[in-house]
Amino acid sequence: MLFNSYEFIFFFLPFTFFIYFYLLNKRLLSGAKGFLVFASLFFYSWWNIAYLPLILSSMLFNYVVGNSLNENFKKTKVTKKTLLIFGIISNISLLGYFKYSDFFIENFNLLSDSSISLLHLALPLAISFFTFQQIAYLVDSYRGETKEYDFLNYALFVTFFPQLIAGPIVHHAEMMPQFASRWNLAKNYKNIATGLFIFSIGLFKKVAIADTFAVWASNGFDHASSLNMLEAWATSLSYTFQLYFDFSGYTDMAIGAALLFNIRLPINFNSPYKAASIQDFWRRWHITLSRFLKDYIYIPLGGNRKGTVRTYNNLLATFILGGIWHGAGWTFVFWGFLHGMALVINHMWKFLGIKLPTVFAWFITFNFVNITWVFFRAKEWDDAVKVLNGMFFGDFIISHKLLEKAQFLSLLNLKVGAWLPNISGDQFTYTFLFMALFLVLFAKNSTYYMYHFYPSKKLLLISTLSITVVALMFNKISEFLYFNF
Amino acid sequence: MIYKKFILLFFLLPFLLIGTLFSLNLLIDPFGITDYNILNIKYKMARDDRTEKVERIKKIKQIDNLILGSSRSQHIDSAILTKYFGGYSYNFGVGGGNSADALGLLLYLESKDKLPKNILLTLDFSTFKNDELHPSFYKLPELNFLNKDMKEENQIAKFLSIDAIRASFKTIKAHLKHTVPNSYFNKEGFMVSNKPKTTDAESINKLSISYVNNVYKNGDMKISKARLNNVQSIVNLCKKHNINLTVTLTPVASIQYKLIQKNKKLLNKMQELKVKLATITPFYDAMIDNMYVQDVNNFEDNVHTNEKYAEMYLASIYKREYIELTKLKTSQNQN
Repeated sequence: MLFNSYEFIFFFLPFTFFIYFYLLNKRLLSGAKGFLVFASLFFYSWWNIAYLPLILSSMLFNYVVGNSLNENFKKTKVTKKTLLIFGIISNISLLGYFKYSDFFIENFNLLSDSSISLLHLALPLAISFFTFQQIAYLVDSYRGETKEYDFLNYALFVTFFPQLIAGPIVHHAEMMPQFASRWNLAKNYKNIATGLFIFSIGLFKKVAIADTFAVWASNGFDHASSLNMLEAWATSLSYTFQLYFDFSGYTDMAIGAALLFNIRLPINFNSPYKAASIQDFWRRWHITLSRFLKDYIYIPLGGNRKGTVRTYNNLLATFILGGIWHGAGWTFVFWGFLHGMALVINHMWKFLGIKLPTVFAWFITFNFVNITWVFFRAKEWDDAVKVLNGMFFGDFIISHKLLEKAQFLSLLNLKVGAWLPNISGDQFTYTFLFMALFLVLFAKNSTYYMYHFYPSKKLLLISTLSITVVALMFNKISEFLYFNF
Repeated sequence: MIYKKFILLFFLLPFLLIGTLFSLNLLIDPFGITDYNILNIKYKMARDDRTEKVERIKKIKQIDNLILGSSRSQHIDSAILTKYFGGYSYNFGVGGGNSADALGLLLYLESKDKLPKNILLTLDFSTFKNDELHPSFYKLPELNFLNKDMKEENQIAKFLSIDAIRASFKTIKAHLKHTVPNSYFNKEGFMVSNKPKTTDAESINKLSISYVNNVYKNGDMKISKARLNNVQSIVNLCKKHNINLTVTLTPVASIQYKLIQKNKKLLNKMQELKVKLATITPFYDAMIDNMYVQDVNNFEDNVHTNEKYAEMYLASIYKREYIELTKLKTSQNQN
């Protein structure tokens, strides 16, 4: 079920909300939690019920392993560490089987000149997210940072529908105390108002902004055979904004929906395109994934404790793995490598102690991120090369109208024609791109409203207009980008 | 308390605003979905010609003569066909229409037992350049014989969407000012133009250069098998139901034709299409260079001919009185 669908907004969410609090009101805490787990599994199964056994067995397995790792672990022939490694490998194998089998077979075929048939497995929804979340739980249990004896609680931690499909990736220790807190067992109107407001903003981001940019981005990447300079920049920037508004819109809706149930999910975005360095960018973009990569890959690899060279290696390895997590393809690996390299350079630069002017630093960072998204988005290398080639070596086209008004331009021997024909763009394309840039740079983000929300006429007007615009654009429902990862 | 009030208004205000817009659109009904014309609006300004024409066709009991094609055929007056063949004629020329739209409509009419006796199928070279279809094709179940789910639009969107609001405002503005739109479809699907567009050689030249670059991609195109298969299916369907089918390739302005001739790759593609089409059905080839396409007074732009040309065109096809059009026949037919 999509957050931006009629069935979620008009049926699932209100129904779940009222039943949950009705059960709590009747002091049926376990019943309420059980209902929330049931509703979340229903939400998950709406796409394809065939994957329900997969998530259930994954949950059961990790619950048993996690429980065995807690402080009551009785020493047997199997050590705690062996059990942890077994748990992690099992999770990664499951993810690897569904997500990376064909990638490995393709590359094996290429290297060995063999022709093993591809498996063509469909990627179970949310598998990357619930696998990472449960790996984190196992490690936390091993470290003694969390424990869970109740399967219902554990199931709620994994399946809680606002964060189930595409995060934020949460820690057991930050979620379960919230469900247990007696302050959270009754309806909280402040949370409901805040949640509704943030949800409406997320819905607007997704439906009105991200889906508008999606048309130009997909025309440029997937359909155009070549791109002129303006088209190529419009394509890459459209994707840059589409991805941000799509994913942060999803996160806002998740945070908003969770707040209705008095649960505060961790923030996932903090105006990432305001970042003035790549390190700053990764502190603001997909924060819970960065946290996971740092806590469970970078630090266990040694972090920055084993010398400069090792630190750089660890950074690079972490980001390459981060790239692979997003998808089984060399373009993702290369994207991760580029970001890892940028972080290494960032560290070296800091070591030199030279400070760039903030605007210049922002400009470099934003353009680096924009250019690297090209590899992230492109389905094939050729598509990435096509877009980059257009961005840097494409023809600069001027319109007939412009040439008529500024005839001196004819001296420059520029090509004359339509500006954005291959991406079906029009005069609004660049206007929208500048508006989006203005929004990401100067508008207050949802994190701010999550902590500083106070009802006002201005916020009421914003939410009313957001909902109305969304209602007018609701006829074109599309999935969230991060569902593919 | 202030939070409760906010929550109440959070639901109430959008409900009122959306409800008002929905009611307004329902009242104006810019796409002509309902039969209630409470405001007695004469001209609807909806831009979705497929929806409008499909809705109209659904209401017509019997069509005897049918014109199928793109916007280029919208200036063919259906009344001329009535003059030639009698009965009721309808022009189903729709923006970007191609052989899939034509087949989709015929299959729908077949299912309703409403197939016509005579069909004029007009085909544009440009619509054979790839397999993609107009998004509106998918969203109309009456046309979408491919049953491809595009999730593009639903019925509510006809009353609650940005397009619906835009069309409603245009419609009501024209209604209140008693303005007759520059062009509109009459009940027979013919585009009536009150202020016929004119053009000149320079505009045609500019448009043609852009067309060759952007639409024909300078010849970097594949002739779509799917669209040719659709033509084959139409031919088969007409044979099955004993329908008199006439196929023609639509003209382009001479300036554009000369640009095609200059570009070897593109010229080959055009010839490829003509040969492949000829193996499926005999067709009247109006995509040639002659005195009629050299005359800019016959065009609205580089590819859209006007009413005057359309009349000569039909006369040539059915009566062969005015202009000479190359008639290609398949080798099978020649045999």
